[in-house]
Formats: sequence, C-alpha cells, structure tokens
Amino acid sequence: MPFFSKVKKQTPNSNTPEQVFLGEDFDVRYKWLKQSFNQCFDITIYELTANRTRCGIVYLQDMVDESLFDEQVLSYLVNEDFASSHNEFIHKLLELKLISSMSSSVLTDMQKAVELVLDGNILIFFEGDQRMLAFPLQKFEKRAISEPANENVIRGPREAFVEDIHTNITLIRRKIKSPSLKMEQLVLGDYTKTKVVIGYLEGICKPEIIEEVRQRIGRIQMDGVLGSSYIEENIDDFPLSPFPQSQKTERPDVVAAALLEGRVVIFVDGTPIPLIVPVILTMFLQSPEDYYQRYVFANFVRWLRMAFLVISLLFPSFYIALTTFHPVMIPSDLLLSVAAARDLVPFPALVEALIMELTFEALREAGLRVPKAIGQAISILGALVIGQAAVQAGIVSAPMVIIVSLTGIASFIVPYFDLGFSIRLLRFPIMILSGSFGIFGLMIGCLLIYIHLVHLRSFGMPYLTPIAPIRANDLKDTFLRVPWWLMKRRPSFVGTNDHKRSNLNYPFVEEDED
Amino acid sequence: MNKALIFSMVICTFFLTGCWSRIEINERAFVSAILVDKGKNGNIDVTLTFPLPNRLATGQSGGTLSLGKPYATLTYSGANISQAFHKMQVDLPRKVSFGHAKLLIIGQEMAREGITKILEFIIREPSLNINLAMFVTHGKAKNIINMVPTFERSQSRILLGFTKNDIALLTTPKDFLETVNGDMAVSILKVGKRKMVSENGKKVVWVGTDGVALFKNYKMVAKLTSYEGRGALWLRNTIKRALVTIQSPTDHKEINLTVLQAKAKIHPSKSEPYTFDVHFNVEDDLSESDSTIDLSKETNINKLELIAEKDIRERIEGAFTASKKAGADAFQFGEYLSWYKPKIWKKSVRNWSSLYQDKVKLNIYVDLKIKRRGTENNPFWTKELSP
Repeated sequence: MPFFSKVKKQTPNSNTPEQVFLGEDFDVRYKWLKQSFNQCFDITIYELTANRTRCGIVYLQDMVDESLFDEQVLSYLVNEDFASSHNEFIHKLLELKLISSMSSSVLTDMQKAVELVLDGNILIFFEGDQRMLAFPLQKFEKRAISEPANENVIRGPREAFVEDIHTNITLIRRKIKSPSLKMEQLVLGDYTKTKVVIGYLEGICKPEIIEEVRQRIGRIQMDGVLGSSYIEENIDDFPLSPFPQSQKTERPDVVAAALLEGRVVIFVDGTPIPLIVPVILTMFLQSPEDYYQRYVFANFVRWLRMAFLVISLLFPSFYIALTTFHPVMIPSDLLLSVAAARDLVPFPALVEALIMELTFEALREAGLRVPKAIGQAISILGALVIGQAAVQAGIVSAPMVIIVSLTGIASFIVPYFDLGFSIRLLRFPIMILSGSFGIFGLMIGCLLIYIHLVHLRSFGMPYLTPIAPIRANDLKDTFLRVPWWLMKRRPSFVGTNDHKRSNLNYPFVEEDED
Repeated sequence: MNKALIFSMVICTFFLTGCWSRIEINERAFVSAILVDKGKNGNIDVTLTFPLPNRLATGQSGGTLSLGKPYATLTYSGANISQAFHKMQVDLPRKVSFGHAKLLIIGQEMAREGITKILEFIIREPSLNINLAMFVTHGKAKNIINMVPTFERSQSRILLGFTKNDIALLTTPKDFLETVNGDMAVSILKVGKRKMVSENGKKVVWVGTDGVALFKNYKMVAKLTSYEGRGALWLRNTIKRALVTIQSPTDHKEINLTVLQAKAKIHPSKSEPYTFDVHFNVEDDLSESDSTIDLSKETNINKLELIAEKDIRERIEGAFTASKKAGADAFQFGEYLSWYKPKIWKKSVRNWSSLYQDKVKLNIYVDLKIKRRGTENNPFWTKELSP
C-alpha cells in the first residue's frame, strides 16, 4: 500500500552538490554569480576597487547587517594604508586575516559560495586569486523568547524555544555548561537546506543510540524540511503505530533533563519543538511540573493523570457496554435514572456516543482553528447546541453528555498532547468493539493495545520499559516520583554505565547528641 | 493482497449488528420484586413489579409531571413460574430483565404449600440474584401492590428499606440452599390500613413487618409472634438496633435500652450431645427512663443489666420453644452440630427433625453491658425530687 510507506521523493539535485571551480578570472566568476542569482531582486552584486584590486561583493540585502560589514570590513579594504600592493593586499587579507571581523571563511568552491550567500553571508572575491572570503554577518528578524504556549507550569522556568535554532541551542548551553554537551550539525532538504542539530551528552548517552540517530537522519532525502515532524515520521521505528515514538517539547528545561538522562535531542531550524529520542510510555505522563512541585503533591497529580488516562480511553466504551449488555452491573438507583434519561433517545447507546464524541472532536478542532475574533461563537454554539438543546430535544441523553465532557477533559490531562491524540483516536475502535460485544469487546480492545505496546520500540528501546521488561531500579520515576534525594541513579535504559547522579543522604542534618 | 483482505474484513465488521444479547437499556423492563401466590386450579399467580423509567421525569424543570404512578405491576398465572413468566413476556413490548430484582414475596397459602418450585426457578435463572430478600405475607402477596409509597417514589424501594435496616429478618434463597432439610425462618409482612396526612388524610394501605414464619422442609409450618420473632433475630445473629424494654426494680416503670452491638456464639455443649451453649455479648445504650431509679449509681446499672439479660433470655427461649413445637430447625442448630461434631451429626441427620423436637436443649448465657446513658444521668424531672 503506497500511502502507508515512507516518504521517498526523487530529488532534483543529489545530496552532495557538484563543486564548481572557475579559477582566478574575475569576470568569469562575476558573470557566473550574476547568472546564478538571475531574477532575484534581493541580491546585491557589485564591484569595487580597493588598493588597486578589483573586488566583487555578493550578499542578500535583507539578510545581512550592512552597517556592520561597512564598519568592520569595507572600511579596511578601501583604506589606502592597508596595503601598498596587490600582493600584499591579498596576503594580509587571506593569509594573515588582518580584519577585525569576528570570523570569516576562505573558500574556492563557487557552489559553496552560493550556499553561504543564501545563508546570509557576505562574499568577497578578488581579481587574481581563486580564494574568496565569506563573512557571516546575518541579520534577520526572529521571534523573542516567550512563555510556553502549551506546556505551562506553576513553578519552574517560563521560557520556551523559538524558531531560530541558534537561540534554542543557546538556551540549552546556558543550562548545561559542559564541553561534553555535543551538538552535531547536519543539513537536510535539497532546497530548504535546513539545519538539523543532534545534541547529546558524551559519556552519558549510549554511543549506539547516537549512531542510530545519525544513521536514521542521514537516510532522509527530501526536498524540504519545514518542521521537526518531517523528521519524526522518517525516523520512527513503527510508522503505522498510533503512539508517538519521540517526545516533543517546547521547554528547554525538559530538553536539558532529557540530555542529563542520556537521551538524544534533535533540533530542527524553523521549529520551536525539538524531538527527544528514545522515549517510553511513562515519560508522556511526566509533566515538568512534577519535578518542580514537592514530591508529595507531584505523586498525587501523577496518579490523577494515570486514572484520567484510563478514563479518557475507556469511559464511553464502558458506559456503552454496561447499558447495552450488562445492565445488571449498574446499581439499581443509578440504572433507573440512566434509563429514565435515555427513554426518549432514538439511537442505540453506541450511535449516541459516536455522535457526541465526534461532535466534541469537531468542536475542539474548530475552536483551535477558528479566527480569534469569532472564537466565542464556537463556545456558545457548543455549550448551547450540544449541552442543552440536544438533551432537551431528546436526541442525546444527559448522562452521555456528562460522559463525553468528562472524557474530553480527561484527554487533555496528558501533559504531552501527542499521546492525548493517540488515546483520543483509540477510543473510537474500542467504542465500536464494546458496542458490539460488551465488556468482552472492551477487554479485547485493551488487550490488543497492550500487545501493541509491548511490541513497540522507540530507537530499539521497549516502549513499556521499565514495566514490561521490569527494571526495579528505574521504577522510581514511573508510578511514583520519588523525592530528589532518592533519585541517585539515572535511568539505566538510556544512560551508559555512569549511572551515579547524586550523592545525597537523608536526613541531611546530623542529629544533635545531647 | 493479504493486507487488502484484512482491510476489507475490518470494514465488513462495521455492518454487523453485534451480539444477540445486545439490548438497549430503554428496551428493557427491570423487575424489582417478584410476588408469588397460589392461584386457581393449582396454578401459580406470579406478579412482577416494574419501575417505569419513562415516567420518572428526571431533572426536567423540577416539578413532577402528572404522568401517573412511576411503577407498574402485572399478574399472570401458570402451572409454574416459567409458564406464567413467558405468558407475560409475550404481552410486553420490552424484554423483562431480572437482574435488578431484589425482593421475593410469597403469599401465606403458597408458603404453606411449599416453595420448592419458586426456589427452583430462582436458582436456575442466571440473571437472578440468589441474595433476594424473602418475605411471607399474611393473606395474598398481591395485596402489597396496593400499598401507597409515601416516603419513596416506588413501592419496591419501601420494601427494600425493610431489608436495609436490619429490623426484619433477612432471609435469602441462598439461606435455603445452604440448609440440609429446608428448615428456615422468614419474616412476615402485614398489610394494614393507616391514615396518612400526606395522602390528604385518607386511609391507605400500609405495609409493616410482623413476626416470623417457620419453614420445615420448604413448607411454612408455624408462625412466631412479633415478640418471639425478635428472639429469632437474636438466634440468627442479625440483631441490630433492637429495643429492649425492662421494668425498673424500684418502681416498676419502664426503662428502654437500645442494642448497639450484639454477638452470638453458638456451640454444641461439651458434655451433652444435643444441648447447645448460646453466648450473647450485648452492648446497649440507655435510651429512655420513666423510673426514678438513680442511674448514676453503678450498682443500679448492674441491676438493670441483670433484668435486661433475663428479658432477652426469655425472648430467645420463646422463639426456640416455638420452633421446637413445630419441629422445624429454623435456626439451623444442625449446622453447628455438623461443623463441630460431625460424627454425632452423621448419626442423627436422618431423623434430625424428631431429634430436634425431643432432645435439643439450649443453655442461654447473656452478657449485657449498658455502655452509655445518653446526655444526662438521671431523667431531668428527677432534679425536683432531690433535696
């Protein structure tokens, strides 16, 4: 089935572009560059003579800091005192680098030069020398660091990633000040030339995992990479699974914590949401809040989350199964009120539930996409039409409205939205199963999901670790969030043998000896 | 190819209707009580009561709509219960569901004739709970359906109330199953009339508990009075919230004690084979005193305790002798014997009924403690008498 298979497109250029060398001739190179940037109004190519040498300058005018270039480079070049002859000029510039600009690269390949110009460099080439200089003087507008939009916490840092990859990496470097934090850069996308950075802590992350990430990302050949999801779907172990196999976050503190556990982070330029691999199911139930609140409360919230995860998956199905197949299981008084409420409803419970669940999903999606100015209309329509009018008209029953809204709330309690999506999606097949076979169908559905989860791997790591291959030492942060003074070792399933994390002993205060 | 096959199979399942047992909740009629009477020509009259959810308008604009009563009763007769039930099912638009039945009420005539047919149906029907509460009525069980539910929405909830607060003896078909010989005690309901302000001062049918029916070999053989019936509760070890009224030793005025906790321990006596030692540990509250006896004195309290012990002993004695007279081991002393002395039980199981009538004796020991006297010591009006 072609629509299930991985994206593989024939690319116009191969991944390694051919090198172009045009020698020392000024006019040939000038013409070639003019030709390359034909019909690009934002390119600036001009010629000037400095110290009796013809220089060509090429840059994209909207992407560079022209005043800085003028101050740091151009003023030196045109200064008559800089050099007395052509040869001295070239020698000082290209070999001694007597220019106060921070960094510049020397290159001879014209193709590479074009790439650098497109990345916001200013290129200078000279008459009579093959070598060219490129100054990285990018200047473009970027969004300021703001509060996270989706992953809010009460305590804990309030900064979130932005689209610019360099800002994002800075945010991490400021949290982990160690040379062991490695950042490997790759470029993906034949046209977009998107920077992809693989970050990990050397000595803590398992080398096999790093190598696997490198290989899987290296395999990707696309014409454009516009977001981390382009990469995510190409490196999943099980592309057909509804469960997310990499963690997405917009919080630098989550990324830093993942790095310290020994996991690998993949930044993609242009996306404020990096990927973290490998991931296990329980990690999606750990909110960053858990680690900032005191552990007692954090544990309570974590259990609440787990309970509501089950509710979100099974509650409508359970209701359908009980009312259509096993009314004996409902307490008599409750049964009477449910039966009284359902009396006028013309649909079977399954159809009723499907109508309501689909309407809720549609409302949620519409609420997300609706222009802000008319956003209120959606909520009024939703509350009035679905909540009240449908019940009064006898099309759906009041208990079903309660169940659908509770399920709706429950599905948003998962801290990472992509697990919430999978749960929300899996709810429907289970509803159909329990509408056809009762509790038996519901259990079959649960078993199928369980079997799938046991089978699932994220970068070779079983998805249910540390529960399904049980690792007693790593259970400290799954069902419980033990206090910090007990988190002495990092999770053994991702980190290397350097497991020790802290050396704390409790109680910290020595008892007085009176 | 293989994938396409699986895909089409999954699609096909969406057009299937599911299990045959799938019945929507609004296509079922839930039985709340089963009433059985002896009918004409040796038939059995089965009456089922149903709550009517379509008339229980919940939440809608608060006020109760005048739709009629929110419950219905139907009576059909047949040679046995299944016949009567099937006749009923044919006439009903909804599927009868027994899963929520909580009550089994048997008319006295039917009970005297024997309840094996009823128990057979109940035990065989898988959706029926064998923990139904059983009652016997004076006269016809059907008369109960004329009861006006004053405190609850439907009649069945009133009847359920009797079983919830353990004032009436709770006997279930399961208790009958556990016996060897079908000897058991079942509470009796009486149907009377009572003036109710809530029903505009009219006299309406009122149902209350009254006495205990003794069964022997699944047949009702005797009745205990209300007074003796409470002794039966003691012997079945289900006493709670009972009132013990005694006379004060000083002025013969009444003093009421409420039982807080009572535990019975029944053992066959070590020396004599057919004698049972019955020990009761009772804790009481003093709930009312009409007497001038000084309740703040420990000795007086001890005296009251002794009197109350004697009273309880007499009650139990009464229930026991009544059951002995009927030859019905309604309190299952045979069970105790078979548990503690299986050898003797094996010998005597065949003619246990006559043995019970002739030989079984009880040694009743009651240990009663008055734990609390309430918020005052002596009655408030005694203050005036003290100097």
